[in-house]
Parts: sequence; structure tokens; C-alpha cells
Amino acid sequence: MDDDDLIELRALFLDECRENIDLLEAGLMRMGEGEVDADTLNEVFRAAHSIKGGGATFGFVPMSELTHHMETLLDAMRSGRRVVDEAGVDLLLEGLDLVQALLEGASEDPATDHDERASLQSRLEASVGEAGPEGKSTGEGTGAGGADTSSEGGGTSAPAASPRERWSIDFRPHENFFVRGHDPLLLLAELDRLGDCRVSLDTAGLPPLATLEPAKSHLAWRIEIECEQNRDGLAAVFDWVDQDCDVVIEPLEPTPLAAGAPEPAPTPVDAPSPESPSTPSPAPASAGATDLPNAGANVVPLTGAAARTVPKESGGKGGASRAGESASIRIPTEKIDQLIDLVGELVITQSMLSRVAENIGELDVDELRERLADLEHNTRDLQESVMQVRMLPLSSAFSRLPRLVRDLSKKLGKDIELVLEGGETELDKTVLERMIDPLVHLVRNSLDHGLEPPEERLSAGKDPRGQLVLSAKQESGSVNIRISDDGRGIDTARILEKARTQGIVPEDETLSEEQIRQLIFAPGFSTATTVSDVSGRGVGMDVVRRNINDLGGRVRIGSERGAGTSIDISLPLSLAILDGQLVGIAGQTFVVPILAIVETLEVRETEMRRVPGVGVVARFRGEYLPVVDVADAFSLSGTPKRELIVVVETHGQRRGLLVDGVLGQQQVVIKPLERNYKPVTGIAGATIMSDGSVALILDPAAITGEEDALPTAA
Amino acid sequence: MEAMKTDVGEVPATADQYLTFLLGTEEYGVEILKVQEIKSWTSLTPLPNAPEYLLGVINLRGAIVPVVDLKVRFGLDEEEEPGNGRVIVIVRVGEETAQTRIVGLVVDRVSEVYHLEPSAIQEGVDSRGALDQDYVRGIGQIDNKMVILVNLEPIVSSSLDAHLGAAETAE
Repeated sequence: MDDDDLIELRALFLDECRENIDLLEAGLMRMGEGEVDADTLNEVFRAAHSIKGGGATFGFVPMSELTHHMETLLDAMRSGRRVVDEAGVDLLLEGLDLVQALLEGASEDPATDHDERASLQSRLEASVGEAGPEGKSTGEGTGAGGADTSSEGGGTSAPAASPRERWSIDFRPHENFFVRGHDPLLLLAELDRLGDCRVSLDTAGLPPLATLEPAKSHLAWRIEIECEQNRDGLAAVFDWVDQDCDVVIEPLEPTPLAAGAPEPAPTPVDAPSPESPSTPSPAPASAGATDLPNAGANVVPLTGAAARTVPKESGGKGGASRAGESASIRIPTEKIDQLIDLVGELVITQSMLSRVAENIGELDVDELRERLADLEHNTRDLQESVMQVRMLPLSSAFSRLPRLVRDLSKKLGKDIELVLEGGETELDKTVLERMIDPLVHLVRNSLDHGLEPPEERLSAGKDPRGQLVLSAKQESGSVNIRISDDGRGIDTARILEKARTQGIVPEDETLSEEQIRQLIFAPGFSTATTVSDVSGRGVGMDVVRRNINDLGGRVRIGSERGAGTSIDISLPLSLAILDGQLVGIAGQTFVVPILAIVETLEVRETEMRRVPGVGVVARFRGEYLPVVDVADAFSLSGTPKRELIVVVETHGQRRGLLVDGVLGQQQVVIKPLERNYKPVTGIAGATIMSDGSVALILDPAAITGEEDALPTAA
Repeated sequence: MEAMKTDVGEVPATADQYLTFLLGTEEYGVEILKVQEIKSWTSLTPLPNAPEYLLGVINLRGAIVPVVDLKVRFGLDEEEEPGNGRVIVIVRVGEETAQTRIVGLVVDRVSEVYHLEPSAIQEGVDSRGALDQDYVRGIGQIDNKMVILVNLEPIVSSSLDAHLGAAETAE
């Protein structure tokens, strides 16, 4: 196996590890809420097991060791030897955090980490012995690399749950087993740890000594095991190696087994039990995957190893791991199939058009028109489908919130219920990934400042349990996310006062309620009387709004004193495409996002005057609207005709944009200028028109003066 | 949109080969490996409040590429109207730092591709003082001609990154 394979495998492992961590967390959270069923427990156990195994293989030895301890505790829980209680779950969550830190290599001080890990490991160990039906400690397993071949005494404590079953496992590593980095001994040891084993060796595959290549695996084993595992549990042992061996697991009659050491006799495997026929290995291609649940059926497999254990809800989940933006994405096969179909149709239309061109002598104009209409149809369908591919459900952004709320409410001594709605709503992958931090921040804010502690709520006549609702909904062209709580509400008086003190708002200026609430987003602004490490430093909210604006979205705050606060975020469905209004300015074509346009006025019918200190204003609906002369502000070389005013609005701020005239409307693909150049004030990007020329897209926020303001006409 | 490729013969492009072009009467050279293609004059979209030498952006097969007039950038006399048979040399810079940018440089005419041994290049020479030292890699001798070899990266980054929004005169 060469270096490229190793690098690729390692990247795969990291991806899968992160998913397993997410799975583990979700499962643990459910367990913490009291949902303790066999499926969840097994799922959680298997996730931990995978992390442990993979970790050892790829050199994450401390992480693997830690996970091993977690696995031991989880094993005790799932076999009933230990009950699932909050203390146990908390401990496991703590362990999981450290596992993640070790995986991402975020270690700043290895010595502290080591101590932390040692402490955690011993606490996990101790926890195994607690709260069990017999209070008996089952002892510690060996470290990840240990080869413990002594069989554990079976049946030491009467298990509360699963009965012991007998299985026959036929284990045939492929020739390249060692080369792939696996060691059959570890697997045998693992099986031995799970129950009582009787192992027999099959040396039928051994070549003569003279031709023996030590690096190749020629041996096979037959293991009879009596344990509390079901087939899945046994198959899990071979999870990481299933590509490189053949494993057949079959049930045996439950007859008592004598515990014993592996038989050294090099005899071919015979069939000792009446139930199991001598099992020929299945074709190598199917490997051990036959026994594994096919949960990932609707997910495009990266390799066999990666396709497993993906529960349905995260079938569409992107590689948007907690580590931040990632370069890969998981796509349901249906989306890919649809794309293939659409491309097929496009190819057909194209060949039909070619035929028309070939027979240009006898051109049938109607047919040409029809084919061109088909082409337009195909292209549009394909475009929609491709954009759909980048869409992921919001639930992947919501997934970390339950844990956050749980931990934070405990820390703050508040009782808070988190309600998530509309998780199936889909958003562009990049938008989604960039929304995670703002969402987290807004939730923290709500928990910290908005929701009151139980005593305060009670005295206000409220339910001591506060409620935080996150809901998402798609509405014509945009996705709306609402974060609302039933807490204190926003004290606008205090905000205004603070803003005046900080000089953000001049003394004589009056603001509407909405405008005061928007002050929360001002940089450096914070009304928190104390700075907790959760929030209060005043650097968060302005970044939140900027992040949302950068994505082309908007954020609004609504609030009622004593009743609660709700924050509404609307995000465009796509970062790349925008509905644009083409306008001419000084002979050049510009694009104005339609969403920002309120109305268009004719200059000659509009009263305009020059106000000192402000500039030119136009009369609009009883108000005076400052006017921006882009031709002037951009120093354009052409001669502006200045015949129309396009009224542009962002966040309640309005300005007039002076243009020559309006051209058409069209959907426009946004191409950032930063790719080869750099950001330009007033310009949101560029696009390519149908004649091949480049048109610049105006930034509505710059026009209205909200951000990076353009000057008003003099 | 034509790409005019200068014939190099059977010799593959190497690090010692330079594409030479004319700005006025002076001949300049850039490493051929950095040259992506040569484009004939095409319609530009001007950028707001850009410096005089930044003529605007063009559409290069879907990519938005900024175009710098080298003559203006270097402060040389400009007798001709831009667009008079002038040519845009499309270059790639920043590949080493994985921040590749594509930029167009307007020149009067493109000459040839020459192979220059490092020994034929005189470094550290002040070429009439008109160009900033950083921009000149050295002077090469080709057929008794003097070719000023330029350093692309500093020229491009100073032209594009230098300022934000406000107009500046050429250096």
C-alpha cells in the first residue's frame, strides 16, 4: 500500500471518525434524556468501537486508549451490568470532548492533556463498577495495542439483559491482511474479551516453506464463541478490517463450552456442531459486509468502509464536521441519478440541434424553435438540480445545539427546553456551514441574557422551565430561521441609554423601537453588566450580523418586555445566483439585486432638492430620500442621463439610486471579484452577460449607506 | 477571442525561457512558465475609482480577470490610444503560495520566446531608474539587444493590492 493510499485512507478515517463522534454525541444525549433502548446503546457502542479501532490503526494511540475505556463503560451499560444514569452519561460526554480534542490535535499542552486523560480514564473505570445490578467491577481491559489472549472467565456475574448465545465465526484474512496494517491476533483477542472462545486454526492455505512470503497472510481461523453479543456485536469486531478478510458468523446450538486456550493443532477446520455446515468463504468481493446492517443504502459510498453505519437522518449530511468547513459532501444517490438523467436529456437535445444544423439547407424554423425551447428547458432543470446537490438539511447545523443548551443551562443554573423545528429545511452547504457560528452565538446569548433563572421566572408568573425555539422554514426564494425565547425580552430603554453613553447614538437623535433593537448588532456594544465567558464581550453580535449579511441574508429582532425575544434571519437559497434588475448608468450596464428594490421613480416627475450637509434628496411618499449618483461616486467615464431613480432598501434604510434607465430583469450568476482582484466598495460581484461582456453587481447596502457607504449626490 | 501562441519549436517551456514584449521602444521579458495565454484586445468593463493603470476587468472563459496597462503602470510615455492593436498577456501569479491569481497585462506587441542562460542575465542593474528595483529581475542580452526582465509577482501585487478604492497616480 503506497503513500497515496495511506493519505487517502487516513482522510477517510478522519471523516468517519468525526461522524462517529457526532453519532456518539447524539446517542448519548438521547440516553441522557432517558431514551435507553437496545438500538441506541448498540449504536453508541459501535461508534466508540470504530473510533477505538481506527484510532489505533492510524496512530491516535492516546485517543484510542481513552475510547477503549469509554467502550468498556458502554459495554457494561448495553449488556445491563450497569444502569444508564445521568452521571454515567455526563462522564461519557466529557470523555467524548477529550476524544475530539485529541483527534483534532488541538493539544496545546500535552502534559495537561495526559493528566486529564488519565483522570478521565480512571473515573471511567470506576464508573463501570458503579450502579450495576451486583455492584461488581468487571475490571479493565488492556490498552488498544495489547494482545491479551487469556480468556476471561465466562459467566462471572449474572447478566441482567441478554442471554448468552453461541456463534461460529469463520475468519479468513486475505493475503494482503498484514500489508494493510491489520493483525489477526488483535481481532482474536477482542473476540476473546467478549466471551468464551474456542479457536481452531486452519493452515490449509499455507504454501511450502520455501515459497512462503511472511508478509502475506495464509492462515484462517474458526472461532466458536459463547457470549452475550448478538451478530451485530460480533460483526462490529471486524468493522475496520472487513475489506480485507472474509467473515462468516453463524449461530450455534447453545451447548456449554469448556473455556480453553486456542488449539495449536494444525488440522483443517472440521464442523463440530450439528448446526453449522462447513462454510466455504464467500467470494472475496463481498467481504464481511454481508453481516453488517445496510443502513447507508441510499448514500453514495466513498468506499465500502465509509458507507456503513450512517443513520438515515444524516444521509444527506455534509462532511461539515465540527472542525469547520470541509471540502467534501455526502449526497444521496437519488440526487446524482437525477443529474445523470438530466444530462442525458441535454445530450439528446444537443444532438437534435446538431441535426438541424446539418440539414441547414432545408431549415425548418419551427423545429429549430422547438429544439431551442427544449434546450432552455433542459438547461434550467439541470441548473436547478445541480444547485440542489449543494443543499443540506438544517438539522446538521442544529445537531450541536441540544448539547450546547444542556451544558450551558446546567452551568448557568437555568432550566431550559430546546425545541427544534423544520430541521429538514435545506440550505446551500456553504451558507449552512457559515451559519453555524452565528446560530451558536445567538443561542448562547438567549440562554445567557434572555432567559431568566427559574426563581425569577416563577416570581414573574412563568413556568420555571424556559423555552428556546429554533424553527426554520422555506419561503419563496429564501430560508427563514427564527430563534425565539420566552424570556425577559429586550429592555430598549437600557440599550438606548448604553448606546448614548458609548457614543454610538448622538444625544438628540430619536430612534424607533426596531432601530434601538438593531443597536445590539453594533460593534463593541454590550449591555451585560458583567462579562461572562459565555457572552458579554460585545464582539459577538456584530460579527453575527456581518456573517449573515455577507451571505446575502438579513436579520431582524422582535421583542416584548417580560414575554420574550425572537430573532428572524432570512437567507437566500443560493450564494451563487441572484435575481437582478439590469440598469444603465453612464452607458454602462450594472445589476441591482431585485430583492433590494422598492420602487422606481422618474426624475422629471420627482421633486428633488439639495439639502446642505446631506446632498441631493428626492421626495418619496412624503419623505425625503437621499440620492446616490453612482456615475459620480464611481467616476464613470460615460455621460450619465440621470432619468430614473431606483429606490433601494436594506434593513429599513432607503436611498435613491440615480440611473439612466432600466433594462431587463434576469437571473444572474455571481462571480466574486476577489478571486483575481479584491473587494471593491459598492460592488457585490460581477457577472457575465449573454454577449460575453462583464457587468458589475451593485451592493445594496453600500447604496443605502448601511455599510461601506457610497456618498450621496452633491 | 483568439489565443495567439508564439511558436517555440520543439523545445518545451522551461524556467529559462522568457516571452518578450514591447512597451514603446523598450523590450521587456517575463518567464514563459507564468504566461497562460495571449489575448487580442477585447472589451473591458471599468472598475469604479480604479487607478489609471487598472483598465478594468474582462471575461476570460467565465473568469473575471483584472487588466493592468503596463505602460501606464511603469510610467512610460503613452502615445497610442489603448486598443490600437495592443495585446493582453494573461499571466498566472502566486502559484507557489496556492493563491493563484490570473491577471492581464496590456502591452504594445509581443515579440518572441527566448532562452536565456542565467549567465547571460545581469542582475542588480538600475535600468534608467524608471522602474522600481523590486520589479526588475535583471537585464538580459539577446542578439545585442537589451531586454529588461521583470518580476511579475511584485508588479501584480502592488498594482492590485496597494490601495482600497481611492484613486492613485501611477508610481
